Amino acid sequence: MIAKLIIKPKVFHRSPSSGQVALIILTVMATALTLGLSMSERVLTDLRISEQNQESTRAFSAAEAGVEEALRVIREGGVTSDIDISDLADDLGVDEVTIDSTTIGGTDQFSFSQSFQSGEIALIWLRNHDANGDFDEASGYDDASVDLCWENEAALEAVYFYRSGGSYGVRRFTFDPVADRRDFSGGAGTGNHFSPPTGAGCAGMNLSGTVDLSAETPLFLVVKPFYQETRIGVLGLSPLPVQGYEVTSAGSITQNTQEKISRKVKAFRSWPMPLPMLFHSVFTTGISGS
Amino acid sequence: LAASTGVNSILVQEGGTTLFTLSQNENRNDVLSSGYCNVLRSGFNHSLSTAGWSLGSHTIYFIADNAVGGCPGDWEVENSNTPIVITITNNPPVNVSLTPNSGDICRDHYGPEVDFTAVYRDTDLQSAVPGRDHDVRIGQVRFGEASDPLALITYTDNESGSNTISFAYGNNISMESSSVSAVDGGNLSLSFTLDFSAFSIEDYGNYNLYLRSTDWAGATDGWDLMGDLDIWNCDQVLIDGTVYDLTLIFPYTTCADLDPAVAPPMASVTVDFDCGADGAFTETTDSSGSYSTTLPYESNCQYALTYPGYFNDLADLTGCGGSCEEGLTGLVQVEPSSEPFYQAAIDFGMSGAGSPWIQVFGGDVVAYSSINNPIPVTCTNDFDGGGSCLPFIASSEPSSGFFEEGVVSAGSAISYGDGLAVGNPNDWQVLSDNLWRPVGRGYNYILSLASTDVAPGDIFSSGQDLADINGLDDGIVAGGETEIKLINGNLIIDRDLEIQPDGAALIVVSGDIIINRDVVRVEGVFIADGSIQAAGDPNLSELQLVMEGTYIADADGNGAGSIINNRDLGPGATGNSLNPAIIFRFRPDLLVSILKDGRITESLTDWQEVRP
Repeated sequence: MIAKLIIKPKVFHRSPSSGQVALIILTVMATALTLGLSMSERVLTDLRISEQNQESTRAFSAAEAGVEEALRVIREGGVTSDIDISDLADDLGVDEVTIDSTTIGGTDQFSFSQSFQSGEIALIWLRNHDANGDFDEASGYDDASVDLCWENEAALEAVYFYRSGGSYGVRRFTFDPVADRRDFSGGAGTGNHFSPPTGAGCAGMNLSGTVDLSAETPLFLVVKPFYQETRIGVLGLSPLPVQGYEVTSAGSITQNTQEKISRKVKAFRSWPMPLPMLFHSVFTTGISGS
Repeated sequence: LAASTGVNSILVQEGGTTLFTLSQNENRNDVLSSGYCNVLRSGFNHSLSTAGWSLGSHTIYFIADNAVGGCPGDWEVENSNTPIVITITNNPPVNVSLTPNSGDICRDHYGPEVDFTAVYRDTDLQSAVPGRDHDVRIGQVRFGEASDPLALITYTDNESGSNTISFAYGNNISMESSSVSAVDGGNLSLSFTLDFSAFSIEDYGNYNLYLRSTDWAGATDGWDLMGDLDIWNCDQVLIDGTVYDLTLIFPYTTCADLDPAVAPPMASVTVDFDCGADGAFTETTDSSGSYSTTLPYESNCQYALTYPGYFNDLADLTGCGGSCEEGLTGLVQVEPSSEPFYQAAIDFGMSGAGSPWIQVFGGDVVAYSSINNPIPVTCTNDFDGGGSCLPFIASSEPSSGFFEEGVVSAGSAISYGDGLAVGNPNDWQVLSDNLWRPVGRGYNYILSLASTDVAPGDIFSSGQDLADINGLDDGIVAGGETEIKLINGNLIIDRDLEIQPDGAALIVVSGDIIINRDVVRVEGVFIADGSIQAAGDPNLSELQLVMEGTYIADADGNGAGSIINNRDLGPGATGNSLNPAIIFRFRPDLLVSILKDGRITESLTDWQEVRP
């Protein structure tokens, strides 16, 4: 008789031990605790940053408000020392607001702090303004010329407004440092025919051109760059009239008596002038029907 | 002696000395009858027929016949037996005259029928041979040349009291009557009447007049020129001429300029003549600029020339009389002032008027897109010739204190048509696609600037007419006054506006500014969010508009708004040829006044945050 050998697979049945479960639970709880603590710290940091940002923003707003208030007061003929900065600080919810103002110009060299786009107008005063900020034809720059200063490869047009007796007139000067633009001979309507710059720069800029102011009473220069954005300055033979004023204001908030948040804003404002568009005969999108 | 062959005389000579004259018509060899038989006696008249004799010398021998003793059959010469030489001569006829033989038959002999008289002469004949009118046998009259005669009248004596007067070649001419008369002393008159009432206009012209005559002996006086006549039909005049392009020499033109060597002829020009009840006539110039037509004599015709393109002007040709015309349209009287009367030449000189264009004195021009300013070629020529037309978009004007022109800047292209340059004298121009373009600086922005400074009465909530705006309604802003008006709507400029020195006007509108077509001068600073438009009637020639100050369109920078010119000055010396339709002139005094006024100003402000 043949014995039938039956082999059955052996099946093991095991249940987790309680130690293992506890270990897993502990791991999970540790992870959760770590995450919780981390998130808590993150939240606290965010809250702190947020609070700082808010206070920074308030400080900045206070600085801006201080500048605006100063500009308003000056525009209305006052002085910044008349501003009650304590009330202003209270109103703005900051601990402190400081305001300083000073005139810009009055020396033989001046440059605008900002740049001017191609076609944009900068006005350089050659007459003084009185204590009220009004244009005063009686006094001002009377030397025979000034040098205009600009940079990069921009071209420049200067329109010199003058008074001759009882009437007013203009003279024009043009400069372009790029020879190909000046004399491009690609056909009619090409080449701007400007003059090359007359100098190697001034007021920290690499280009300059002399504007002849002789024989007339200079009023102001309207300066317009072309092709490129550029800063603009002027160098006189003697001190130039004040061009405007600069106001500086700071807002401060002190946290926990130790940490102080301050923001500071500076603004230059020129003397009032006619709208820049007005310094043209025709300023338009196009001319049609002709 | 009535010589049938035209023989004048028969001489009986001896040794060259005339012995006697045979004056009787006798046949040769006939026996002469003198009452003394067969004897020729000196002192007696004898007859001898020379019919059939040839011209030249003939010798006659008188032979004595002594056979019978002096009776018939015997020839004797009483004094000599010497032969007698007889010379036969003949003088040809002469063409004497033809009347009329000069001038203009229609003017001098107005009417359809003209009487002519031709006269011939033959001095050989003392009296006509019986049966003949005259020793002139054939008399002819010819109008024109033999190769192409206008008419041929021929008189022929047929003897025996009859003659023929024939008429040939006449084209639309008829001979109404004719006659001849022989006058003692040698003249033959041929009279005839021609009727030109149906004369063709194509046959008008100057015709030479010829006479020709032939006598009975065959001698001829051939075609003698007796004069000439301008012959036409009295109703129509040939008008021809040439149209010249005087554009390049306009306006300094004279009649002498009507020459192909100076000005090119113009083809395809339509020349219209409206002669009222007499009809209308239209011709077009050919490739050589010529035209030809016929017009009724003494009519008044209105002419008009048209040409495609911009040639809508005519050169000034004052003083050319009737030979040329100076107007695009005008009146001609069809009556030539000098011979020949059947034709007249009228030349025309045309010049291009061009399209309307603008010009700027002393100020900058900024256009973000392109500038297309079609300066006409006539302006260029005028400038070259010392005229006042300046072929530039922008120019200096020293008389106004502008020693340089403004800079002309555009975003894409600057076109100045047939001008010389963009600017005078420096030709300053900038093409740049990054020109500064302020946005939001229009009506609302300026209103915000003005809200506290400008009186409420100067701020209008709706469109206005200039003549209704207080402070501007009288058309003058006096020195020391600065008028600032803000209009929420359109502004109609319906009257001129003058800004006196030290005055200013700043007018800001949210819509368009429209300048009526009867306004010729506007001064001030005008700002529109929309367009600034110079109105005009497309069917009329407008007046030039002078705009002094500053003109800003599309001030709010939204791209909707431009400078629109609808003024067209049309043709003529005051037209587009030499004049810009609009003159812009910069006014720096206005800006100084606005600056001093201070109500509409702004400051350049630059903010920066800096380190505390």
